[in-house]
This record gives sequence, C-alpha cells and structure tokens, in this order.
Amino acid sequence: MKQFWQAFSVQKRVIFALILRETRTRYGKTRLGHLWALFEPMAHMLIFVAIFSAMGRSSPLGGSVGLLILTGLFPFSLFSNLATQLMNAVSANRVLLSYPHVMPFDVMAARTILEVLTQVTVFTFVLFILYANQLWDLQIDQLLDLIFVILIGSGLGVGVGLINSVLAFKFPSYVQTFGLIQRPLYFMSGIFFVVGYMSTDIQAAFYYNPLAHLIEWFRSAFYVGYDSTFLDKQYLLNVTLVVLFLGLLLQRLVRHKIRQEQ
Amino acid sequence: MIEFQNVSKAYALGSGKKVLLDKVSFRFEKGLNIGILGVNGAGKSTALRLIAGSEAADKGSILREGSFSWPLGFTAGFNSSLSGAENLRFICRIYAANIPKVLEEVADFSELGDALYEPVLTYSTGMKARLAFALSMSIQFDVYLVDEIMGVGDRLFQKKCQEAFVEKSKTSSIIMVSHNMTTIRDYSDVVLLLSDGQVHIYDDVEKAIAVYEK
Repeated sequence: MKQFWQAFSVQKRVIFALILRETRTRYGKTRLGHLWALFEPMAHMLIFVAIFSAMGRSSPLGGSVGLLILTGLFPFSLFSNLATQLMNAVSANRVLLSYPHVMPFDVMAARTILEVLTQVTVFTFVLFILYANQLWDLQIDQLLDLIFVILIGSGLGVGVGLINSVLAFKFPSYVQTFGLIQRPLYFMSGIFFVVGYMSTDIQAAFYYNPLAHLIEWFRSAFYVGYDSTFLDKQYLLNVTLVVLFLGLLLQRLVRHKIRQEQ
Repeated sequence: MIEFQNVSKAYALGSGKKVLLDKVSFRFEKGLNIGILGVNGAGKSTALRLIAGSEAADKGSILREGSFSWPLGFTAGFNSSLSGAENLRFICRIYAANIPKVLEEVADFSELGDALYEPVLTYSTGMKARLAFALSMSIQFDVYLVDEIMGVGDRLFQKKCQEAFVEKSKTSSIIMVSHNMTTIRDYSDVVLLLSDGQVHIYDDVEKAIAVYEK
C-alpha cells in the first residue's frame, strides 16, 4: 500500500510538471502567450459565430445562430483536439521518456487535462461574449447532463487519441491520414445544422457517426425545450466505452516498445 | 541495492533479433561502485537504462532499493526550445527537488551564466553537457548512473567534474559505463563485463580490464 501511494505521488508530480512544461512549449514564454493559448481556439469559434450571425441565418433551435454554432463546435473540437493531441503526445515528448519516472501514460494524461481545461474555459468565455451581446439568455436546460456530455466527449476523444497514438507509432503516415479523415467529419457531425431536424433518410446516414450523437446530446442538454429525435445515447456510450477499452488495450500491448524506440 | 532476476532483453533488428541480455541474474548491495565494460553494441547502455528503469526488461524482474538517477549521458532530455533554467525546473519537479537551491548550484557549477536563461538550442554540445552534469550532481540520489559522461568540456571543467564525483562517491554509489580504463579504475569497486548476452562479475578491477582488453 505504501508503495502504491509512493508511486501515485510520483505520478502526480510528473503529470503536474508535464502540464507546466506543455503550457510553456506550446504557448510560448510570455504572459501574453498564455492568453494567446486561449485566444486561438476562441478566435476559431468567434469567427464562425460572427460569419453565421452576419449571414443573418436563423437558428432552428431558437436563440442566436451564434449559440447554435458554438454548441456544435465545442463538443466537436473537444473530441478532435484530444484525439490529435494524444496522437502526437509521445513523439512530441520523446526526450522526456528517458527519465524513468516519465511514462507515455503521464504524457497523455497531462495533455488530456490541459486540453479539457482549455476547451471548457474557451467555451465558457465565448458563451459570455454571446451573453454580453444579447445572443444568449444565460439559460442552460440541464447543467448536470451537460457536464456529463462533456465527460463523454472527452472519453471519446481520449479513446480515439490512445488508438491514434499507437497507429501513429506503427505507421508514421497515419498522422496525415487522420487529418484527412477528420475534415469531412467536421461537416458531417451537425455543427452547422441540427441533425434532429433532418429527414429520416439523412438521419439514417448520420446514425453511425458518434460525433453527431455527441453534438445532439450536448444541444438537448443545453437548449430548453429541445429533445432530439435522432439521439441514441446508448449507442454513443457503447462506442465511447469500446474505443476507450481498445485504446487502453493497444497502449498496454506496445507500452514497452513505445518507450524504447529512439 | 540492485538485483536482476533472470533478465532477458533483445532488440528487433531488420533481420532477426539481437540478444543483449540472456537470463541474466546478479545482485549488488548498497554502496558498491560498479563499472560496466563491454565492446560496442554489447548492451552496456541498455543495461544502464534497465537499471534506471527507463526501459523495461522483456523477461525477468529488476529490483531496486534507494533512489536511482536517470542515465546521465552527454545529452539529457532537454527541450531545445526551452531555456536551461526551464528544463531544470521540469527535472526538479519530477524528482521533487528544491528548485531555487538546484538553480543556484547549477549556475555556480556549470558556469553558464546568463546562457542559463537562453533556449537550449543556442547551446554548444559542451554547454549542454555542462548543464546536464551540473544538474545531475545537484539532485541527490543514492545511486548515480553514468553513461560515458566523463571528459566533458575543457580540462578545467573535467577536473571540477572529477572532484564533484569523488565527493559524491562518499555518500552515494556510482554505476558507470565507460571506454576509458582510467575512469573505470578510479571509480569502480566491481566490474560487470558484458559479452554475448552474459555478464561476468569481477571483484578485481585489473583482472576485468585484462580480460576485456584481450
């Protein structure tokens, strides 16, 4: 038991050190750099929100079109950033693995924590920008459900990220391939429209995309009075669990190899 | 204390497998300085990495008592876009060392001056090695694992390193890989000779060197 706590405290220390290091390397050294870290994903969201608002499109869910985009873009980027960040976690931190304390798992845990915190902060910030411009009325239908969906989205992103990291290790060209797979997903997950309001044919075509369910669930929890007819919670939960399990299994199979490869 | 129990380690090469350790067992008690000898490719550095825990054995188990350093080599795991000081902070954090104290000691020992706050990518090889050496000496370990680090920098710095090492060996033990017989003679109580996947342990350093040089 004592050994377990010792190992746990080392791991905690390592992950914390990695998070600090990651913020440094990724966001630069200046204090402004830390702001930029939040500003960059925020700009991404704000630009889309601004374009769609300017086009005068209306939201099928009521409220502003900005809010519609935001509630689609946030769960999507949470997933996609985690999947990409974990894919590259080991190769970007290779030199650190020569320290016996630092395990591939720690590097990925640090990136997960940092990414989820960044995305949630950015989302909250943009929400309040919308509020300040009377584009959001401060209402959230079910906050607990919303937090749960954020956890599911993170789980899905981590699972795919774990699998990605093994694939990228075995086949280096996979990194580009995943980028290519992701692009169509961006347009086919219901960020810019509401899958629940599409015809049954279109819904059937979207059914197997877990991200479409993720976004629908997020919006159902966010919008008062919206309950998606498309959403299959059980399907999303199953996919998330399978992907997480597979990711952890693959990681376990290659864990020694991944460390020693120079 | 370090103990290997039936440890095997092989690397996959393009054509087949290269066996570095084949069911190797040994045990060394605390306080013994060990020199590791072997021809190039015999697996000296791998053995050191196994001792450190930077790499896992394919089979068998490795038991350690006390704190072991990372394998100190010419290039530690430095991030080149971060400054020397930032790299130092990271390493202090993972080993729970006191950052201001280590920073002061490293600044003093490495003589890097303001360069300590410049990105590591602007460093020369010698500067990097000086930082690596100073850093490892400033963090307290029971066992220091050294991979050919002696002979870093100019004469003056080498002398300083040797003095620091002698000082360290009073309180900690050293396990080192070196091609330099003088270094092995100076620091080892026991020699571990690696050849063809087996280890031979010599209590008599001179004898080990004689066998190795044959």
